Amino acid sequence: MIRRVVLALDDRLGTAHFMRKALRKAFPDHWSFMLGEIALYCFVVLLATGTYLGFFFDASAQPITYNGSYPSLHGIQMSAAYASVLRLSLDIRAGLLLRQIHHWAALVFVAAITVHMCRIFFTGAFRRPRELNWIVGLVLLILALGAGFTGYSLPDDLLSGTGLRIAYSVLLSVPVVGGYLAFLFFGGDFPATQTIGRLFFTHVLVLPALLVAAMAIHLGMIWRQKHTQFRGPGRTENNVIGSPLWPNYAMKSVGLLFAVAAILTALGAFFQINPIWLYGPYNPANVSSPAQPDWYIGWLEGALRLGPSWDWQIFNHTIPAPFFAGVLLPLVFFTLLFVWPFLERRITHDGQPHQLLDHPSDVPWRTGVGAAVLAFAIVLTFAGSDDVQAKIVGISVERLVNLYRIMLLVLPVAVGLLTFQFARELRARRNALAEAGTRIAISRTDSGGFAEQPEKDARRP
Amino acid sequence: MNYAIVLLLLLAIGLYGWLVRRYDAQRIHQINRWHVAAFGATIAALYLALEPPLEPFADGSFFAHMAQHMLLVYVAAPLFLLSAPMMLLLGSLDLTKARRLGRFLSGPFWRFLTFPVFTWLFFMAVMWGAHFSPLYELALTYPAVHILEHALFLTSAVLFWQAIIHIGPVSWPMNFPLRIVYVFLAMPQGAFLGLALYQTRVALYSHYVASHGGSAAAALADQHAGAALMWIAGGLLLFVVFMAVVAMWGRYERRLGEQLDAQFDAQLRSGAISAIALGLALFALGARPGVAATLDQGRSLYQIHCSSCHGANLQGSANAPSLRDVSLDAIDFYLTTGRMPTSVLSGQNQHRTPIFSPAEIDALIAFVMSRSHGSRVVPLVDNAGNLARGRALFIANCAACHGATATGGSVGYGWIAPSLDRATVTQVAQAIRVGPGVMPQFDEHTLTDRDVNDIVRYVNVLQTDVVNAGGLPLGDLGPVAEGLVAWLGLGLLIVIIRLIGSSA
Repeated sequence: MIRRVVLALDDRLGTAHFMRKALRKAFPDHWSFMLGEIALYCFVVLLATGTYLGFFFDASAQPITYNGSYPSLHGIQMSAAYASVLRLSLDIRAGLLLRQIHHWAALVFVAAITVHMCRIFFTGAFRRPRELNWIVGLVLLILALGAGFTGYSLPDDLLSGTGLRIAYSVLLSVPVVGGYLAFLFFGGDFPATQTIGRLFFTHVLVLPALLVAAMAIHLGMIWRQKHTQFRGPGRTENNVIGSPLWPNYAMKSVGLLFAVAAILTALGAFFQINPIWLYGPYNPANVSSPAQPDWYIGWLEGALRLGPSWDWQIFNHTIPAPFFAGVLLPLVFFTLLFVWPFLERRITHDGQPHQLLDHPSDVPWRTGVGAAVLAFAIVLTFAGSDDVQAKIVGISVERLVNLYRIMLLVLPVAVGLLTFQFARELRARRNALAEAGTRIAISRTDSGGFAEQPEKDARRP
Repeated sequence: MNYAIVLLLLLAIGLYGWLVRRYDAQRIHQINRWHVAAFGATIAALYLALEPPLEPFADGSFFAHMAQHMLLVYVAAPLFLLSAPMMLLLGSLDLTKARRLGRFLSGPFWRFLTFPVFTWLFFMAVMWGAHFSPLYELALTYPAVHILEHALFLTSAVLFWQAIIHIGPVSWPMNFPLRIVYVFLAMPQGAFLGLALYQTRVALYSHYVASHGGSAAAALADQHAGAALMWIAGGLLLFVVFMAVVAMWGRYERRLGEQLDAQFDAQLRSGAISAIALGLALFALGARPGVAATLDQGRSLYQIHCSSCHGANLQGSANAPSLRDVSLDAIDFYLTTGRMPTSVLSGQNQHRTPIFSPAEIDALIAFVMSRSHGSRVVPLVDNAGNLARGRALFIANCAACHGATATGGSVGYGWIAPSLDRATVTQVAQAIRVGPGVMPQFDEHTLTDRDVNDIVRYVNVLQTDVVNAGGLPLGDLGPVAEGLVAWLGLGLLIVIIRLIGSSA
């Protein structure tokens, strides 16, 4: 039966030829090639759970009086959106579980993308011919950040409302067009009734559609350009060593899908995330503390917290402080990431296509720069929760902010230099070992024993 | 035998017993049995004064009547005060009523009534007025006026003595020298009155002339005997009280000296002011388990644990505020949350297990409040407030610092709005009214009693896990903890791909 269907399809579409080639496509076995796949499967889980949530979410700012099953909010005015998430969380079967899985999947999604990107960066996988895919990957990261932030803001609870308030102010701080941008995204002065509708449309249609499209391009390019691979015996610029897609790699990958789904479900089942019923409906007059965004916005939160309180007057036009930390910094950061492949080519004058990956220690300066940027982002992220840390370690927030300001300037340089030096020494040692000739030929003697013959003369460094 | 009096005394015993039971039931620890004994002695003195064998003679003899009055004024009244009636009443009333009573006790009327200058003058006025006015004669003629007269004697005496017997709430705390002056000034007054009566040449009360068979001379002799009793017995009783106050002062100073010595020794030993070592040493000195709440205990606890910073006379020091205007709420809050006594001189006190037992805390409160002019109003919380109202008020007034989940947060300059997970409903209400540390003080214009009651209800609900749907709450820290857990989840996934992938 199956055979007849397959044959019929092949007869009409000529799929057999494509399939024969595709199924035998070689995938490298190195574990780090599956980081992107974790992100992909997180996205699959996000789509599946998000669809369920979409059935129950009411993207409306319509004020209603709550009289549902949560007694602490009885008789309280709230938006229909918030009420629908309350109902989804506390009344609808499996609603809370799926909402929590969705939220956890979003957090792990961005984390996986970040680690995946680090792997690409530190191994030089972005070099020609893959600069384009690096750019597509960055677009994916930005889309993921956008999807995450819009999703986090949808429930219209106190915590996310505070986040939206900050985002609104940051948008307003953009010179000249700030007001228009804010109106475009928020549909009026904050808090505007149109905001939730726009967020919802962006979150469930615009961004997922763009994500799917960008992912298709991302994967299509990988398919076309084939995988890179680490250096190793038999691996050259002209081949790919690995397991065939069918059955080896497909089995592994399906297994990974199940593992991702299992871990996200376990997180959703056992760990509470974003208990919006505790935060309550958004009210511009109220605020809770500590108030943090999801982790991947933490670096921007940190930048706002550490940023200098500059208010520049240019041509009678105020450029307020949030612009520098909230707009300029991420703009510079992402621009740097976008142009990196071209920047590096200018520096190294290496325009050759590369199919073999670098070991991070092969290019100490790039690894050093990457480590410095990473340190910068990590310091900012940690600074984003300085108040929580202040409470836990018992240092005043003010002192912690100043400490982080110093760390922000010192740590990237220190980490960069240390990494650079470490990579250099690692490279020198490896080169020395390679030159030392560690390979030994062993031959069986006539009497049944073994004899060693160094392949080269041992030269100690 | 006057059965009405017996009935009244029995009623009083029943009421007192009921108060003791309620007090014991409400306050975890039991009332000091010496108070109960004092009450028993009060009843005995009243019975002795108002019932046979003395009473039948009082109608016919000024001497017997004077003996009655001596018993009422110098024995029954102070004994009654020693039975701690106000402390019992405040401790055993339900919160609404205790609150109302507390308000009354801090109010102008009560403060006027208990002002020492007034009570002294009032007592003396009653003593003089009763004997040199038609009142006495009227009382002998009309039983109703007689009852009124006895009530007046008792009332004025109780007011007089409450100025120096500091048990329970005291409106006008006096230090020992003042108390000694107060009693000392009363002694010549009693003696003068006695002498004045002794020197009378005429029988003052026609009633007694009649009861002595119309003999004015016999009545006069009786009158002089009564006056002598007032002069000598009254003087002696006042002298005993005087000596008792002096002895108490001596003991107070001795303990203060001991405490200062201990402090000095501790400083010498450690070679520096080691607050913690000192605290421990003093705690060892002061720990006397099983001792019930009394003013004396409160005083010695205060001297040992508090006076080094707050001053021997509650005047405060560079390290600590004066306690002369401290409210009952504030002391109770700081002591029951273990924030006091503290070992740190600067920075924030943490919520800890209190080092004092509830009885010791009550003793300290009794002592400090006996010298403080602060509010004695206790918060009314029944943990039955309106949940939704409480939640809205909590979010609007408390969440900005303590967080929507009441886990606490930083409020700047090293201050922390603590987590509320350990605070009882009473402590939360007290904190709202007191405003400890940098927390704002919310008075009744900002948050009404009803608001406070609603808020503590919601805090209590937050403390239970009813609201923790969805699994482990991760310390209620929000996205910070969630981000860390998400990275742990990714770490687990990386372990998995490391296992199913190769490393070369």
